[in-house]
Amino acid sequence: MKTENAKSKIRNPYIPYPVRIDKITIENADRDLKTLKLVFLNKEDEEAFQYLPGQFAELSVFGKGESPIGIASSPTEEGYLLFTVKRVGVLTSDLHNSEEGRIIGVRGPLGKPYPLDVMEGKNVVIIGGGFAFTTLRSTIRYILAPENRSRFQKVTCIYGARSPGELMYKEELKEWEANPDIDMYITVDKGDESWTGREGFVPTVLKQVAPSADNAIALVCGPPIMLKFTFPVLLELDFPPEMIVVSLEMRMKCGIGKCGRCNIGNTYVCKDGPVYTYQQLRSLPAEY
Amino acid sequence: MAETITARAIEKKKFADFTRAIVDNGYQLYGPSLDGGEATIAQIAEHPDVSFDYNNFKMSSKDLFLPQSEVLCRFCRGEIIPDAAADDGKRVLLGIRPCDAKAISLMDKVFLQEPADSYYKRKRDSTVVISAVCSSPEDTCFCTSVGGSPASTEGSDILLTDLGESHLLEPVTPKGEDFLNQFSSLTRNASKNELREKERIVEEAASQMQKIDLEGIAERFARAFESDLWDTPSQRCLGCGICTYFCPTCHCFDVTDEMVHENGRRLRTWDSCMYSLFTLHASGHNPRPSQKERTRQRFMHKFSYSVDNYGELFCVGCGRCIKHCPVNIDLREVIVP
Repeated sequence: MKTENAKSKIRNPYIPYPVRIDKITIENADRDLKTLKLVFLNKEDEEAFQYLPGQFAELSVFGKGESPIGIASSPTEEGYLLFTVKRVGVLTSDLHNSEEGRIIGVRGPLGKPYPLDVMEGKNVVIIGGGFAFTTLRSTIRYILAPENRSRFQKVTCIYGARSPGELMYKEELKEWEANPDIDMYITVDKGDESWTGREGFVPTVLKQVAPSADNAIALVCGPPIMLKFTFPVLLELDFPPEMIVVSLEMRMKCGIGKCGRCNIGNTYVCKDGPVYTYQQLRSLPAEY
Repeated sequence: MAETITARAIEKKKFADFTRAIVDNGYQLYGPSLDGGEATIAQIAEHPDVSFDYNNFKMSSKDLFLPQSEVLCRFCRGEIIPDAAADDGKRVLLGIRPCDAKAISLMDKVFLQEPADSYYKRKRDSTVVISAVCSSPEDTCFCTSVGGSPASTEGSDILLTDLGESHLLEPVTPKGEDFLNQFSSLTRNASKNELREKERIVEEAASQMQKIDLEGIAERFARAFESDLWDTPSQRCLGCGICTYFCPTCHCFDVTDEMVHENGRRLRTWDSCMYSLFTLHASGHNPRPSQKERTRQRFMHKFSYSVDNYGELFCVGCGRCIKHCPVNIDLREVIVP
C-alpha cells in the first residue's frame, strides 16, 4: 500500500503513514496502559518520520479518528515506534482491543522535542509521574545510547507511580537501576506487601534527592497535581525557571496549528509545544 | 501613477459578455445571487448578468476555501485513499466585499503557513478573487476600525467598483493582471474621471462608518485576561456558536471519521471555540470549563493572540456576528476602550 505522502513531493499533512501493530505489551496491573510497537509498511515513510524525544504523533484508527500520543521510543531504536496508550475514550479503547498485525496510521512527528541542544553538556534531572513517563522514557533511551551518552553529564531520574503495579517499563527500570550511567529513584505513592522500594510522592522524593541545580536542567512530566507541587521544589533547589522543562497535553485535532483548539494563550501546544519551559508557562494564562 | 495605466473599465451593458467569457474560458464563476431577497454567493452559469446592488452577502466566502464539511481522505478495508475529488478546477469569485477579501488574506496566514494545508491551498491557488468596492455599509459595519476600508485590496486579485454606467476593474496582483489580460478586448483603459469617481464613492462609504479606536488592543486585552471584561458578554451568551460560523476569519475545525461497513471517510468540519466539547479532554478535564473562558478565548484569539502570531487583527469588521447573535451581544461593546 502506497500513501499519497510517499508518492507526492509536497506532503499532505493530514494523511497518516500506514503502520502495522507488531507487538502489544500490557504495562500495568490495571491493564489500562498498553505499549504498541509499530512498524512502518513503507521504508520511505519510516525515513520521512525523523523525530526526537518529546515529540508526539497522531495515532489514526480508520473509522474512529485520531489521538495525539507522545512517542515513547527513542530515535536510537531503529525500525519501530513505541506508543504507550492509556485506555480512556473511544479511540484508545479500540486500540486496546487491537490484535497484533492490525494496520493503523501514524501522522507526525508533531510538536517540538525536549531542548536537546540546551541539555547538552548539562546534568539532566528527569522527573516523571504516572503514565506521562512515555516521552521521558524516550529521552532516557536517547541519552543512554552509546553514541549520545558523552554529550550529557550526570543523569538523574525520579519516577513515581500510584502503586508498584502501575510502574511502566518494568524490565527497563531494572536495567537502568543497575546502570551506572543513570541514577534512578523509583517511588510509589503506596507500596504493597512485596514492595521493598521507596514510598512517597514525587515532589517529596525530589526534595530528599535534592539534585544540584548547578549546570543542570530538569525535565518534568506528570499529572497536573504533581506538576503543581514539583515546580516549587525545583525553584527551592535553585533551578532557574528557564531550566525547568515541562511537557503538556491538550485536546488536539490537526496537530499543525490550524484547527485552533489546543492553544494556551498565544501558543499552540501542538506546534509551539508540547514542551514548554516553566518560564514560558508562567507568562501564559493558566488555561491548561 | 501605476494605477492609471493598469486600471481597466467596462461598460455595464458589456458586463454580461465579460461574465459569459469567464465561464466560456473554463472558469467556474461564483458571484452574487439575489434570489429570495437575500444576497448570497452562488455558482453562476445561466444568468451571467450580475448586479452588485447589495450591501453584503449573508455568509462570507469562507465556505469556498474551507468548506463547512470536507473529505480529507477515505478508507477502504484499512487502506487510506486520499480524497479523489482533489481538483476543483479554476474558479472566479466575483463580488465579495473587501472585508471578506481581507478575511481570505488572513486565512492565508493560517492555512498557507508551513506545513501548508493542501486542501485550502488548492482552492486558493485555483481561484481569482474579484472583490467589489463597498458603497453602502450597514449599521453593523466597522471595517475602518480594524485596518480595513470599503476599498481595501487585501486578499483580492482584482478590485471592482460599480460606477453607475461602468465598472472599474483594478488589478491588484499579477494573477489579477493576467486574468484581466485574457479579456482585454472587452475592457478599455479607465479614465481619470472614473478613478476620481471611485475615490468619491469610497470616501462617502467610509464616512458612514463609526470608528472605534483599537490602538494597542492586543496589549489591552492581554492585560484584561483576568478582568471582568468578559462577564457581561459571557453571561448572556447561549454558546450557540453562530458568531463563529458567520465570521469570515473563524477557522477552527474538527476532524471526525465516518464509517459505513468497511468504507469510511475522514471529514473536517467547522467547529467553534464557543462549544464546551471543543477543549474537553478525554480525561474529563476541560481547560475552558465555562462560557466565560470560551467567550474570552474568542475575543483574545481575534484581538490579541492573532496580533502576536500573525501581526493582524483577526476581525475584518463585517459585523455579521453582531447582526446574527440571538441575544444581541455586540462585539463593538467589548472591544471599545
